[in-house]
Amino acid sequence: MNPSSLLLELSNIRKSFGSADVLKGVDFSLRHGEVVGFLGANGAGKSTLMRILAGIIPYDSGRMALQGLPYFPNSPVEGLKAGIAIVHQEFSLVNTLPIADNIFLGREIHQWGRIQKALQYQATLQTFSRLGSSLDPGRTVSSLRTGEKQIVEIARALLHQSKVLILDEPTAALSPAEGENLFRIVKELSSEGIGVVYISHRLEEIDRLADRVVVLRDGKIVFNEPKGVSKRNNIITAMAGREINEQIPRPNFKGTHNPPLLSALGLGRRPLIHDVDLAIRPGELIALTGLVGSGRTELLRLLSGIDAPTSGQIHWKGKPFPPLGPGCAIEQGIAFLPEDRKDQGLFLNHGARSNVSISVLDKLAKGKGLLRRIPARAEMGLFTEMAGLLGLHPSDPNLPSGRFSGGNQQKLLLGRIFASRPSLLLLDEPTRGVDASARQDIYRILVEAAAKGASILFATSEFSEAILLGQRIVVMRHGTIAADFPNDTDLTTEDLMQHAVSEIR
Amino acid sequence: MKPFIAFLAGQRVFLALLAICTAFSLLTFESTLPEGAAAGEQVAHRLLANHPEGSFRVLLAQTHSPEDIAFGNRAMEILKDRGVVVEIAQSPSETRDFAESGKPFVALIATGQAQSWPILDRFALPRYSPESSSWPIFLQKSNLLNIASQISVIAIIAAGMTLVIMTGGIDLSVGSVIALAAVVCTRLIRDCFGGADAGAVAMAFAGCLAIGVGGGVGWASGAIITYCSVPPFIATLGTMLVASGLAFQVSKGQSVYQVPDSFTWLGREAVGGIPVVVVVTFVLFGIMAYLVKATVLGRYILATGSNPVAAHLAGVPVQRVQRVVYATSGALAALGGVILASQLKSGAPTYGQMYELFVIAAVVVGGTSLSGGQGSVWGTLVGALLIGVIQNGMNLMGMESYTQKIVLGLVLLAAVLMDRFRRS
Repeated sequence: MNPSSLLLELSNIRKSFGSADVLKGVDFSLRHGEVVGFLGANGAGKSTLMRILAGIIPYDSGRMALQGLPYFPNSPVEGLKAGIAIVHQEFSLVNTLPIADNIFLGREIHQWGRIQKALQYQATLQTFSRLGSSLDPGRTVSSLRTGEKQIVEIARALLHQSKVLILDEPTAALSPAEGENLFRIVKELSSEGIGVVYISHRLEEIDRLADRVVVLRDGKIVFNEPKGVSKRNNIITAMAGREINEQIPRPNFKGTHNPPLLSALGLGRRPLIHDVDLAIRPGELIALTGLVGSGRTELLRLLSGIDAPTSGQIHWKGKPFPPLGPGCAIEQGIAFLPEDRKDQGLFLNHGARSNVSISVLDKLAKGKGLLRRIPARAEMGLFTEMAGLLGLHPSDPNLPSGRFSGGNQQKLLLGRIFASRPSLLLLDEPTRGVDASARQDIYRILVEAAAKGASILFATSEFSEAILLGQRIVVMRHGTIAADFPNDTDLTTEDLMQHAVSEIR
Repeated sequence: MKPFIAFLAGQRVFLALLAICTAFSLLTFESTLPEGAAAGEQVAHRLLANHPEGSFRVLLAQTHSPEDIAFGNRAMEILKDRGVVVEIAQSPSETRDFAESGKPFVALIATGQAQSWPILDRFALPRYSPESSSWPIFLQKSNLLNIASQISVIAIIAAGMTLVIMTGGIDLSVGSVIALAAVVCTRLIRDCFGGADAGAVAMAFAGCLAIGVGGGVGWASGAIITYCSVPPFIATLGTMLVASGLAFQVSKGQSVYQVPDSFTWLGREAVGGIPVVVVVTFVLFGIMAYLVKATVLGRYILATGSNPVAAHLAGVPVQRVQRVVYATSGALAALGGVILASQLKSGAPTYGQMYELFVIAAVVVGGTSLSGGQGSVWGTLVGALLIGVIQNGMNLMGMESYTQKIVLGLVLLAAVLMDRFRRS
């Protein structure tokens, strides 16, 4: 085996979903025994590229070659057979089966229809010893810790005689000690000639492990340097890219000394959120940012009373916040916009009007009884008002919400929120999957609402959006607040990236 | 009523119902002989038209059947007014006696049933019999009323089931609740309110208590589903077994039939020509349609079924809505049980077996989506009618019950497939 020969080669890989070009001509190569640190901001196209490599989704155009031979997998199984194994962030193990059975799932060693459990057990044991693990292959997967499950996943990949191993955010859920063990295994495998693609947001890990660093941004490789040459700051610049050239007239916040509307002290919810201190004042427009998995959504759910905290306290208008459900929170004037509008927001087969009015039916019916009649005229009036405020298009009250465009679906949900006349808006990714013009509309709506005195805390994974819109920026990292500062100096996305990545826990 | 008609216009199920009714009408198209008083009247008038002079003697041949007696009485009434002497022969031998008596008969009248007696050929007289007419059995008034009474129990329970399925759930316990309500109601009447001497108020009270018990069983299902996060299928499977067992315990495994004759008012009587049960069914469906269309509860039900996570986040009291809906389903199943007991004038723990399947079938055939969030109360009524009509038509055509099961199963599958195609 020639260690310098190309193991995997991708040229000009393109992929689009509908009108969105996700990969715009990716060239990438991997040598035998090489560990490539693969980086990219959220939405850069990393997962799409890895899914193409593993044969989970097809690519539109381009060429892939594995050890010099053309490689075009039609299914994950073909990818695996050709020698490319991917270990996802979420594991694909059957929890109720023993380790050995999991590893041989779908390709059991059998004779006369009888599974040779002893052989499978032995083979698993050997692979584990190669990985330096002392796990008993007879243990049930559900009894394993996260790091151990990951080892099982890696062992499964190795038993397929994989030549390329893709690890997607492998340390995201690992303890530091488990992480160390993983690094050892990765080094071990690369010394055996296996090519490793190591996807991570954590620059420290990349520094330690990678022979080469590759950065993907907006569907293109924008950075490809051997280790040593690559300086941390260059990598961060490459990931962050340029800032969006758009301007929103964002008035500065003046009420810094007013008593907070909501304040959190030492707030936490195991295992994802801990020690959050945060104060939101009336009329403030705050951006909450951080990398995927940093705990933005979880924090918003805590603040909006959907989930109960396991530690710390929330004060609302100076009084302790009782554990409440969403209905109660809405009544108190706290509105929450979920991140996933199709799964958690919309009633896709119901008309636009009933999607907007659902949270305020009590108010429309002027009373709390379930059997009260909804006054049709008042409901229609509310819809017309919200459609006008948000610039909904088309403003057809009976069109099922599933038939609106992404941006207008988001406007429907914002309409639902504004209908309850909230004093605090907690918005999770309000512009995700929204086209440029609707995005501008949403920015305008939020700035106007804040100017009228509503407090807004919006989570965004785009640093540029945080800088564009937030009067104040809160950066989260590993489940707590890493930085919290007013957005008045010449902040760059690189500054935010610095706060968001930083050191290993 | 207006929304009902508007709904019918746009519904495929309704078109299917019309098509099937037409098919059964054609298939059961048979020449039938009119019977009873109406036929007697018709024949008497025809005779008088041919013999306007009056005051003559006729022989009337009829059997002992009630229809023929009614026929004879009515014919005699009319003829006597005109001075006609009517002699009645109630058997072939009596007819022979008249033939041999040599009385001067001018004409011979025979009912449909007596018409075929060979002895009648001994008379060389003009013979008057009911003229056969062609009318589908299916469309006879008695048959249509029969269908209406039969499906009303299924339809009433299906109204509650529609709400449950709209929330994305299912209630398998309704069949057992029918039995439980029937035995609770009849036992209360027998043991607490004086048995066969019970008064109307007491019976109504017993019925309400039975409905309360049914609502309680439904609420229990809802509580298990919401407080313990048990899937509706399993939770109501449990309450189904419990309710059925309770029904056997309450009745000690026996039928309870010591109830007053007037107990059948609800199930068998009619007000102004329309059976009471049909009135109850329509009133109930009107209320349900209003509930779904116009009230907060209706909106919450649809939201819960469409997207429970979104509904919860939007402030809908999802769990409370579920409990209300299962309790309603239980109460309506119990109402169905009381009606069934009234129709059969007894209560037995074996009532309502397999009803849950017919009820669910009616809801699904009526266009309510099993995945929740969408559906129509009036559609359920049409679905129940469709199932009732298919069963009735197959009975009229003399189809075996095994074949009937197969056909009903295929109808259900076809309805579900149609739902799939409409969506994709």
